[in-house]
Formats: sequence, structure tokens, C-alpha cells
Amino acid sequence: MKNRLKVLRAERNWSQAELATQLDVSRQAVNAIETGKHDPSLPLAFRIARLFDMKIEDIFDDEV
Amino acid sequence: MPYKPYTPTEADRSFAYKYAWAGAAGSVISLGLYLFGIDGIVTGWTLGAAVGGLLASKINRRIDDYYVSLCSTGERWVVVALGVYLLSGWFTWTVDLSMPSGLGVLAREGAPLPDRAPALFFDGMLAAHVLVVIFYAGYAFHWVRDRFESDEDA
Repeated sequence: MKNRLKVLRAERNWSQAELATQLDVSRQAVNAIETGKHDPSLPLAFRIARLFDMKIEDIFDDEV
Repeated sequence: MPYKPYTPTEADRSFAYKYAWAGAAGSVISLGLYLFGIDGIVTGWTLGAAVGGLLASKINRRIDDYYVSLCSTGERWVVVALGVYLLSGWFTWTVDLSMPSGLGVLAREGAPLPDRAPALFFDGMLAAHVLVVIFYAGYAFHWVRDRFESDEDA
């Protein structure tokens, strides 16, 4: 699944570890989500959306 | 913000991934030690690392979604391997192979490995060792596959 997580993180000048800390996940998980290798669970997707104050569908795109 | 001293940190969660590699190394060494019949303090350490990784994958709360997905690949591999193993056993029991296998089970403890090979097939502890290695192999496969096109911070 494509997503804008890397762009959103870069806009805020956060490292993967900093973003991971705010989301209560590991740096490895953030990297896997950013590269589209791992789709986050629904609770994690909501945490991401809340952190960036956006809707889930504005961050994640399920249309390939 | 409420004070939660036992809340896992990012470092805690990342440690689970690193510990899995220690478990993988332990499982391979432990299998080798078992096959060659070597018993000692190292056996305890390596088996402990391998089993610790297994248990941590299920009962450790300092893990996240992605770690669970890596472990689920390992678990899938174990289920397939177990199915193939049991199917092979069933096949062995239902055709003429059962006779030499039975002889192998009854072979002397000190007999050369080729004579004991059928006995090894029905060795439950060996099967468990191999399944643990397969679990970590599945974990490693998923991890390595995800490293391609990865853009991980140092």
C-alpha cells in the first residue's frame, strides 16, 4: 500500500526513530511502512493519522 | 502527561528485532550440537537463546505489528514444514519403508549415522530443533526481503 508517511515525516524534519517513538512502534516498523513493505494495523493507522492531524485515506492509498 | 515508568521505549521495541537474530544463531548452533551429540554449558546458552526468542515472539509486550508480521512468516514456514514432516512419516509408515525405519529406531545408540538415519527421522527432539531453525529461517527470509528497496535511517 502506498503512503505519504516519508514525505510527512520529512516535512517535520523527524528521524524514523523520532516518529517511531511518537507512534509507540520500532524504527524498523516505521521503515517497513514507509517503503510499503508492511501495512499498519487499523489502530496504528489511526495513531498515524492523529499524529499528523489528517484522515487515514489522506495518508494511505490502497489503489495501486 | 501521566507518568508510566514501564512503557516500552523505541529502543525496547527495536531490541526485539535484534534478539531474534541471537535466537536464530542459537537455534542453528543448538541443532548442530544436538546432531553431533555435544552436551555442555554451551547447549544451555544456545537453546536458551533460541527458545527465548520463540517465547518472546508471543508473550513479550515490547513488540509491534511489524515484528509480529515477521514472526508470522516464520510460523507459516513451521506449519508447512510440520505438515510435510508428518506426511513423510505417514508415507513411511504406510509403505515398505516402515520396516527399515523400525530397524533404525532399534539400532544401537553408538551405531554410525547412516545406520541411524531412519531413527533420526522419528527423533522428536531433533524435529523440534529443526522446526525452531525453520521458524527463524522464515523470520530471516521476510526481513531480508523487506530490506530490498529499504531506506532505513542509520
